[in-house]
Amino acid sequence: MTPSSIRAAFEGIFSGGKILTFHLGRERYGLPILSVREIVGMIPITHVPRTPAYLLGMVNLRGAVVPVVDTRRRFGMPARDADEKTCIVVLDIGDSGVGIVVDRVTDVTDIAADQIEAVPVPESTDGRTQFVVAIAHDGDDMLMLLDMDEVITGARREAASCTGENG
Amino acid sequence: MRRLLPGFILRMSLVGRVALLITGVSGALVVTLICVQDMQMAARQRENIRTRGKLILEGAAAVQSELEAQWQAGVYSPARVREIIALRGEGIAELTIPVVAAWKSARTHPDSSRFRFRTPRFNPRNPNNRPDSVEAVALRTMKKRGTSEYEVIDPADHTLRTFRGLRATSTCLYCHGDPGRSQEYWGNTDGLDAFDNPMEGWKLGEVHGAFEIVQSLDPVDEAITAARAKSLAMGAVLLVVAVLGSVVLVRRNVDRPVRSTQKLLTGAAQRLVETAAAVARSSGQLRQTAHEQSTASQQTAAALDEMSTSVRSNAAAAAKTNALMTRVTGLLGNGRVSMEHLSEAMNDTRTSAANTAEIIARIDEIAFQTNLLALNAAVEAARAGNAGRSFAVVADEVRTLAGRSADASHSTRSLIDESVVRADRSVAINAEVANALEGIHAAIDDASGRVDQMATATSEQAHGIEQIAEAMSLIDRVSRRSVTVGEESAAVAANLQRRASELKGAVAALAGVIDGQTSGKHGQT
Repeated sequence: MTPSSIRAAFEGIFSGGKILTFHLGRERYGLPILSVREIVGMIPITHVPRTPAYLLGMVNLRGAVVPVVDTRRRFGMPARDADEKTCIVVLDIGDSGVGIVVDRVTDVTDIAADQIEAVPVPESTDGRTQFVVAIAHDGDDMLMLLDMDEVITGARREAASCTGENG
Repeated sequence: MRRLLPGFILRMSLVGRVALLITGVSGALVVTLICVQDMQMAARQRENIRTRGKLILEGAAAVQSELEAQWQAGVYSPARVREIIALRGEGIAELTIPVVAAWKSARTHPDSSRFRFRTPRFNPRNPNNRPDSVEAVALRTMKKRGTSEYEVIDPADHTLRTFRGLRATSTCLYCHGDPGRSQEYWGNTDGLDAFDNPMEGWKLGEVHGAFEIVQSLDPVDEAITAARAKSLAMGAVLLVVAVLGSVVLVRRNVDRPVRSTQKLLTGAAQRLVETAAAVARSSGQLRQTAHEQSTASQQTAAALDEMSTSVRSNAAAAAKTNALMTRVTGLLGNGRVSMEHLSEAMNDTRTSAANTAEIIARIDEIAFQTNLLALNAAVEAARAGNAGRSFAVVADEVRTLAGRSADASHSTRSLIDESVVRADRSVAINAEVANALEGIHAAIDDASGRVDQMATATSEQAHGIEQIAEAMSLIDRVSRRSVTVGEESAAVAANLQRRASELKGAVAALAGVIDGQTSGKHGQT
């Protein structure tokens, strides 16, 4: 991918808007703020039997039932107990939205196009889509920009292809 | 004493000397016995001879009496004598005279060879009858004493001379009486008797002359000599037997025991000498040791004095220490109370810190919620597009405030945590200090007890030292006495040594006496 194509992709996804940043472990990730519906503190999650492993369960958010994804599991990171800083970020996907569990919501920031760098690893050969669209450097810090549609819809797709195995 | 003995006796052994002694004694005994026997035999022989003399004289006297009786009976008379002279001569007529008949019968005695018969008288008609000196003494003695018997041993020719005085009888007076009656008896007026001898004018009963038997005492001597020879032979045999027997007896009963005793004595004297030397040495050592002991005990007494002083200062120090301990105990009590107060204060601090932490947690919670609220506001502002632009700025400010509040609460929390940690540490240290104080208290109690014990021990020590001092002075006195005793003992030992040497010399001399001088000298080493 060329830098211009990356920027194009970045523009396509983030549309020059603000970015919500959060932490999983020591790593910092970024989401386009417009893809976020709401941020809530950790609330009790009801496990639903016979659902894919990355689904932690459901939460009742003001009467709406919202599925919650285990982001760490999805990212292949070790599990971690929730603490007082653990949040659920409800993404604006579908009617009810989808929640992702993050260790900590950090802030809301602006990223300029010249801060964008390409991911310095080859594209995966197994046809899986990359979660990380690009890397932005924010001062000394690094920020991985996520394609959340890919994270969630990719998961659904994978889940559908693996139904036979899991069912 | 030994000098008085001849040399050959000194050189003789004990047995020899005893044998010599026994020989001498038994020889003397034998000689004495022989002498006694001699004297008895001589007396017996003499008695025999005397008896014989007397018997002869008695016989003569009997003949004289017989003729006297015939004269008294008238067988003979002066007239009859004159007839016999006329008829038969004077020789026959003399036979009628009693005295003449008596001496004739004596001279014809069967034993006449063993004696001489004499008729001594002063102024004899026969010159042979003139008395010698012994006879003169005998006649005078009998006349003076008025006795008719006399006996004397004449040493000149070793004879026994026995006299019987002749008293003038009426018959005698015919011839020896008053010369005036010569006419009446013999028919003459010239005072002559029948044999023409002048009449001496004797009176009746007067002693004129005597019969004398002279007997030699030689047979006595011979008998004695013979008996003595026999006695001597027997005595010699007895002597030899006695000497041999005594030698055997002395050897068996005296010499052997005496020799063994002498050996024992020699050994004992030697040992005594050695013992005396040992006693002398050991008394010297005793004196030396006692002297050293005396010095040592004096030094010890001085050391004890010093020790006593130090013990007294120890006692004083112990008393002071005890007082100090009591004060320290009081201070410790105060310290403990303070520690308890500190501990309470620390606990209070912990409690208030915990309360503060709760408040902080609530502030934190509020800051978190405010942050979430601000984020959601930012999301809403972004959705609102241009209309929400200034709202987004407010939301950002709120979020920043929430972040600062959270930071402040964090630093407060860490401060409180730190203070709680410090309070905990203080409590722990306090507990340690309290423990340490308890330990110190216990140690001080212990030390106090020990100081008490020390004080007691010190007073006991002082007492003990006094006793030891007394004992030392006693030891000193005893040592001084021991020195004196050692000196006396040394003197006694020296004396003993001298005596032992003397004894040894005496035993050697005894050995000399037993063995004779040469072997005695041999045994003296």
